[in-house]
Amino acid sequence: MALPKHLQNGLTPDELTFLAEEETIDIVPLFSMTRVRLLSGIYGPFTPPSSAKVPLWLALSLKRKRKCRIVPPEWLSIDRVQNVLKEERENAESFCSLPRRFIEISKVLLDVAQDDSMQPSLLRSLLKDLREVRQAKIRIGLQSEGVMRGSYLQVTNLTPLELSELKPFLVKAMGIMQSLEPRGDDDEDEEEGQ
Amino acid sequence: MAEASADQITSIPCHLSGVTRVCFSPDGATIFTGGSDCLVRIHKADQPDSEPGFHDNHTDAVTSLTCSRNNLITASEDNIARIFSYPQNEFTGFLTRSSGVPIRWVSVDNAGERVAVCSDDLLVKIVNVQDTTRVSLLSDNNKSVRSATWDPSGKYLTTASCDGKLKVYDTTGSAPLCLKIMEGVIGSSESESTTSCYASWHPSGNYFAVPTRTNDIGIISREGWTKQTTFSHDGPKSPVGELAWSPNGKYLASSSSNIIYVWATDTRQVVAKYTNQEGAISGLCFSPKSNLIAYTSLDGSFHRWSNPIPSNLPNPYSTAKDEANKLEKLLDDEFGDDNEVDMEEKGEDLDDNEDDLFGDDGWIVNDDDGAPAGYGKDEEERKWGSGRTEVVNVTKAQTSFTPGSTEFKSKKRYLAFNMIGVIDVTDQETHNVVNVEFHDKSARRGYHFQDHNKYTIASLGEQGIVYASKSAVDSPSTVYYRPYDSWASQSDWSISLLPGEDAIALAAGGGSSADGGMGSVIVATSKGYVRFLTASGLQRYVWRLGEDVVSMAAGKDKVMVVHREGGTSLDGCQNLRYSLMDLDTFEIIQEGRVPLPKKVTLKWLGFTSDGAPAIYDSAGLLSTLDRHRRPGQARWVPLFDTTSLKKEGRQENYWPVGATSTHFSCIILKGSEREPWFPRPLIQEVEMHMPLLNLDDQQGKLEESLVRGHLALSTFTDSSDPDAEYLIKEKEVALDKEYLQLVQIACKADNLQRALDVARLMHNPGTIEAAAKVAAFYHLPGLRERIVGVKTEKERRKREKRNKPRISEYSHAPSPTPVPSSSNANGTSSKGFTSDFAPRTANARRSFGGVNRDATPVSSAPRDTYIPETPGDESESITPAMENGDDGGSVSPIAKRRKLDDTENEAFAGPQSKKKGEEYPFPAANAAPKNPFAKKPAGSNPFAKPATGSKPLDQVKSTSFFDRVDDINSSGVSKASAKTKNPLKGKSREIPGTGKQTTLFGAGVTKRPVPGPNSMTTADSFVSTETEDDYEETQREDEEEDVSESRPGILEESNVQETMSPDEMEVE
Repeated sequence: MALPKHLQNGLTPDELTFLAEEETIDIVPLFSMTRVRLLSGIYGPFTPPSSAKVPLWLALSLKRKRKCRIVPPEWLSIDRVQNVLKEERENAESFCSLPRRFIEISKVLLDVAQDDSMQPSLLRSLLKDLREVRQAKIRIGLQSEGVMRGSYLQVTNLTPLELSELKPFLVKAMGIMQSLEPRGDDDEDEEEGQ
Repeated sequence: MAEASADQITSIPCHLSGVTRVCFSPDGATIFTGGSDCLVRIHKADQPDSEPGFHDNHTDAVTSLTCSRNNLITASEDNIARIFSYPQNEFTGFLTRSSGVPIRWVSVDNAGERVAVCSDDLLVKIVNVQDTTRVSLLSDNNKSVRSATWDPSGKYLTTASCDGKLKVYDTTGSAPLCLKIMEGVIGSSESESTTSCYASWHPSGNYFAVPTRTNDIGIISREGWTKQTTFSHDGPKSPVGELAWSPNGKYLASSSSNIIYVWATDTRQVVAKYTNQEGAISGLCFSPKSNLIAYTSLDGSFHRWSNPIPSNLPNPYSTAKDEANKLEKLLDDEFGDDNEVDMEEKGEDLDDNEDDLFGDDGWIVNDDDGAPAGYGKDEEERKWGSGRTEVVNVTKAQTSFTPGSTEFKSKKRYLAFNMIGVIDVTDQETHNVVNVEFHDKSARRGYHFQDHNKYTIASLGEQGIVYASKSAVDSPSTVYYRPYDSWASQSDWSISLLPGEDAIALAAGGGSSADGGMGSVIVATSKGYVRFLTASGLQRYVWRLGEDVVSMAAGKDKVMVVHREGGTSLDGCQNLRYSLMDLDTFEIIQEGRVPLPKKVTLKWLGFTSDGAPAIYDSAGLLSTLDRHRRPGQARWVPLFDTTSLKKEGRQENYWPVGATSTHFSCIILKGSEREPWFPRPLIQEVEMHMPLLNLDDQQGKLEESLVRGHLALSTFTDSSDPDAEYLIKEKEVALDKEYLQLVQIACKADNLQRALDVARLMHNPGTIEAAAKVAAFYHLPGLRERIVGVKTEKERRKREKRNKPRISEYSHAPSPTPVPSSSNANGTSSKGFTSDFAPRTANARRSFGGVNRDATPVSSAPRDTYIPETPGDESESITPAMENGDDGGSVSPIAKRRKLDDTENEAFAGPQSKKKGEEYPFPAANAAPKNPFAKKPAGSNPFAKPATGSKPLDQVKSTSFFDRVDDINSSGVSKASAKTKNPLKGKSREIPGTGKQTTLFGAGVTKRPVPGPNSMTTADSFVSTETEDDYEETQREDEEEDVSESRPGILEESNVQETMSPDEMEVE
């Protein structure tokens, strides 16, 4: 049942961030240019003060050159994050649905474009709270019956980053739990038999 | 403001020289002065010549006076503060005495109960007038206190001490509580200084004025006790001594040495000033009841300054409430001089209505609710308040505004905020710092500068920025223009308006520098002038509009001025009108009402990215001026209603910045905010939806998008932009795609009639064919067939009208058709006429030339359906043109406009048309009316070789003989027509066209006659001859083919009449 070795070493956060940079984001360019054709698609035209949709990596690169303002995604507004946090706290059973690359994008935006977001420090602390609440839930979830029996862990609405963080430990732990579980032995025997 | 004339002043020497003080009794009837001669003089306010009474109870110089309703309290260097009764004017006793040091200051609160007494020892005493044993002490001062003043409610006491500390006490508790110590606001001084130093509370109690160290007047707000602003004037300053607010708070009088300044509170500008030759001012008071200032100077004389506030400004004493109460007051006055009763009522009124009285100052900011006072949540009620104000008057007229500017808030504001950039201003008291930033940093570089003129309005144009300042006492209103970049040095300039003329609206016009031209500057002034200057400062034109200009915005080549027609109406209408003027020729392109419903004001105006004027009103509706290039055709169309965006439980305001044809660029303000502030918020782009019906289903959305698309299309069609042709094509294709979707929806819903209807509206035959395929897909052969029919019809029409794309545009909406042609078909000169049509030819050629030729054979089929329609169309479009042409001579504006249009068209289309003409030597503009009948291509005669080659296709059936005849004929025709028409510019091109048509005619002989007579009868001389020519040719050809082979082409001219008549006969 154990995962193959190469899957155990999941993606690193850096790699995940790299992947997240393919997501598109709105920017307000500070220069004007016609459409550009990139490998991933056609972007533009850039006509300030209209916003344009570009991949995150392009936005970050332009931002570093001070050639754009990044429009923080709607889900990264203080209000929204506060709501999510509240919901996350109230609902102990399950996780809130977050954008897939929530953590990566919010981190990189706060690093590179904090002057574009309102109240970056407040946002940062909210995000930290949110992350801690979710981690706490994960820890509780690890003690759930499913894990104890070595069979499953409910990971609905977990983001890839959280999963990859969890995976090496969980997989190993599950393996051990399974080997301790008498019925699990049977299953394994059966499987081996087959 | 000029210096007040000396005859407004009456002076009485009444004390020995030395510090002399003055104070009014609250009823305004009596003025008390006290001086170094130990006397208090009692003057009657309304009888300057009567002998003043006096109190002689003092044993040393009188240093301060204060009067409540019942008592006069004096301070004296003899260490005693005394109480006198009023109006009996009798000495009633001592208030308090100090420990052997002079008493410098007494001040009684509004209720007349408590008196603050300052002396040269470090104590401030608050003594109860009724019971002088009840004293509270302020003993926390290290230096002696020079003054203590009460706020109007009697809650706060402000003290100024010799060490330059300004303190605020809350006196409501049993012991006064120090709320705030402000250092560095006032300067330090000596206690016996002849220059006073005290805080003066505004009658509203929201703020007070103090003399600052920098010899200005600082305004300190009760909210947070911070300095909000200053009253400052240019020129040499001496320390500010006396301060006095007018009873209604609209004015502040201050004295610096021997000069008295009167400031208007809302503008912070000096409205009057007087230099007292007799010496420095030591006492200053506004009369509580009249336009009168009383002051005393160090030489011991007492002066009355009557009518210090110029008569054109609001008076200093009456408040809104007073006005309303006038009747009652008049009645009260009837009962004699029972002042006490009167005062009491007055006092209550003041208390009850404090907010109403002073709430609308507007210039000072209330940080708490985030909106300037007077623009708060009950703005609506205030403006349109029910009850008395509405009965007495009247809709508050909207003041002039600059689109994209905001009010000062915490010393910062936006002067301009549009799609090009942002100008923000920071108030640094002595000057402003202006900072200009552009959205597109690659194109223009931002800058900032110190602005000593304190510009109050600015307009950010494509080419430069124009600023203007308000006029002040000694400086006129100034307009300053600064281009973004220029090859020449010193390209910025400034110009002063006439004295008494204030710039109230500005606009910087002009397209981008790529288009050439430098732009222009338009200034609307308080004199009702609109001044036009070029970007280099050349004055080009002055327009006396005469009405209040409310706002102005300039686009690439035009300026929109919104002005008020007369006054506002009783029911809440602003009665605004707009004028759209061309910036090159100064012709008024459009005029009309601004469609504002009752109680709605204009919030913004500007131009969309397509160049169409747009407005945004306080009800949240964005409208655009459709067909603004067509004389008399402009109308406002709602583009977007922002109220449709509002969500439940969220309060949002939309602050417009700009608009494109698809998006509304605005700043979304949360909560009760009305204007953006700092840091600069992001511009949001909201997709526009015209307020159409059924917007929640797919079809409604498509319909909305189509209506909006057609708006943009009509703007393109009318524009003189050389790219317009391409844009039109692109737009048509985009629209057709949406039509196709509509067809599909209709097919799906089995609404066949609608599907056909939609197909009829499509622009391109290709799309119609696609629609037919959609119909086939849904197994609707009947529909498919009809759509194919529509297509062929369309193709035919296209070919006929390809010379007139504009008109074809209107075949859907026949009514407005005449105008474009009228504006174009300038019958006054043949040159104008031809050149006018030339562009169409060119356009059509470029877009459809090839297609049409291919399509021709097909299109010949369903002629029957088509023909009857066309002639009507034609005649309709042509007729008014001619009529207007005739009018043109007498009505000069129309003629001018046409000329303009012509030149425009020529400029843009001329070269193209020529080129095209060479390439395809056929159809001519004036052939247009005939095109309908020219279905058959077979470009016979004029085409020389190739044409003749093609013609046989048609005539193969007939005989080879015909061919030969035709050949001869064609050569003849071309020669002949060349001869006849060469003199006219562009005519040579037409000949081939007619030739081609002839052949077509030949094919469709029977139908031809119908349109002929129509157009000829309506056409005026020039046009008719032309059309006749064409007809004649066609007819001749017909006849040649059908009837007589013998007629040689050369004869055609002479045959005109002949050929015509048979035609007409045929028709009739």
